[in-house]
Amino acid sequence: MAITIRVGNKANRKLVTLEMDVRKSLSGDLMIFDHGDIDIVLSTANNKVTAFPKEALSDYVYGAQNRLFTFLKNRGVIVPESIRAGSFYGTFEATMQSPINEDVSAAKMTLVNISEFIDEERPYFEAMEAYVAETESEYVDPDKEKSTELGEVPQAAEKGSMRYVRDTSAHYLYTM
Amino acid sequence: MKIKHNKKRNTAFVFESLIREATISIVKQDSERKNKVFSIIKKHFSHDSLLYKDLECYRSLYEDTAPNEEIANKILLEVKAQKRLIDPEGLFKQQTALIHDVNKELTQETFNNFVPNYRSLATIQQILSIKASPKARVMLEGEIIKNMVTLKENRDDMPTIDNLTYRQFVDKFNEKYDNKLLKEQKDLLTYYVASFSDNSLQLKIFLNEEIGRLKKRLEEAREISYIKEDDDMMAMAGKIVRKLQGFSKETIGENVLLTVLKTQSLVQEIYNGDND
Repeated sequence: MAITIRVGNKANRKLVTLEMDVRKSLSGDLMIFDHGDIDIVLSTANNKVTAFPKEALSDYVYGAQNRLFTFLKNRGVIVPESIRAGSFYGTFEATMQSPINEDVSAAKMTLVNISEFIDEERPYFEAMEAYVAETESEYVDPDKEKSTELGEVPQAAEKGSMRYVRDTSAHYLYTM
Repeated sequence: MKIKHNKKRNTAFVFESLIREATISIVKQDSERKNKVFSIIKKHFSHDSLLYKDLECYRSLYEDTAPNEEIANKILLEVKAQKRLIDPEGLFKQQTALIHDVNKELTQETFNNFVPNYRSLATIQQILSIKASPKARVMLEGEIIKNMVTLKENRDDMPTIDNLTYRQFVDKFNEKYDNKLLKEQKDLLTYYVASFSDNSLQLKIFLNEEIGRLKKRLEEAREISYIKEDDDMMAMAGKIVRKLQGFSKETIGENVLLTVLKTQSLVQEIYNGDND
């Protein structure tokens, strides 16, 4: 069996592997889609992190944004006083810290911390997604116990045996 | 009229479900699953297979249109004659093999893919089936013929555009807007057009930066002497800034896009235009 020996300063360097749903935009920004309520953008060009609502703006979205920036602030990767609302639809943004050590990349450190934040939140938003999916399937595809014996009733302009008519004296009648 | 429909024995329905499964795999960039779907299609729907012949009977009725009822009737008669030439036992065996492969290679969920024209496919299966009563079959035939003729009428409503017309339209559009739109306006429209691909995120990023920039430039503009000295211009600039500030609670819409486009032109005019 061949043995690989590494020598030098880089030999003990640890590799970090992250698994995330990330896309790089044309401007070089990293767009992270993993979170259930928010989309996170890491902009190396502008040196900032921005959180956008995924769908509509709600208390859940604000809560997720608040937790994200508190997490990043506590980890020391963003400037605390730079956290502020953005200019467009429920956006929040913050500036990344400038590292003293030139070997450390602020963007990479922030990305690792964002990944940890998402992993921490994953059980909550996945449980919420599962609950919504279950509720929906309960309505559209109920089990036998909760279904009528009529089964799947196709759509039609008129239903049932009673016919709706309107007579001239503006009374509403049903006929058999 | 209650008619039982077994979708797994409906060749066209299974084919459409597989096509949708392949599309989903492509969108999700799951090449392994996409290859599995295509290999199943190639294996079972080869040109000499009974399933392919059966599928062609379905396609003649749900894909093709007829200019009038008479021709639609003739197509239907021909399809019924072709269907009679297909060995039902052989077809049943091939269908069973196909269902088995889908269940084994993919999942049963494949059959739950939404096929928009599933009602038409179910109707065609009943027409081609020997199990339906004569009365039911005649009524269903009427429905299919009506669909074929209506489909033709709807398609006729859409005017066809030839290449020359299209090229002229593009040339005129470019001629009109090429030098009139600013770079930032072109960027905004580009992000807007492509916004379907990424939950509009790139458009949101652009708007977040652009609205911030416009607000800053307008605030700075209020310090320019010819604006500072004019009360109306000062008031209007303040009004526009407040409107832009309101976009922090507004989602993407016509109002936002038009306002940003107009403000981009205004800022350009203030700083680079002829102010005399």
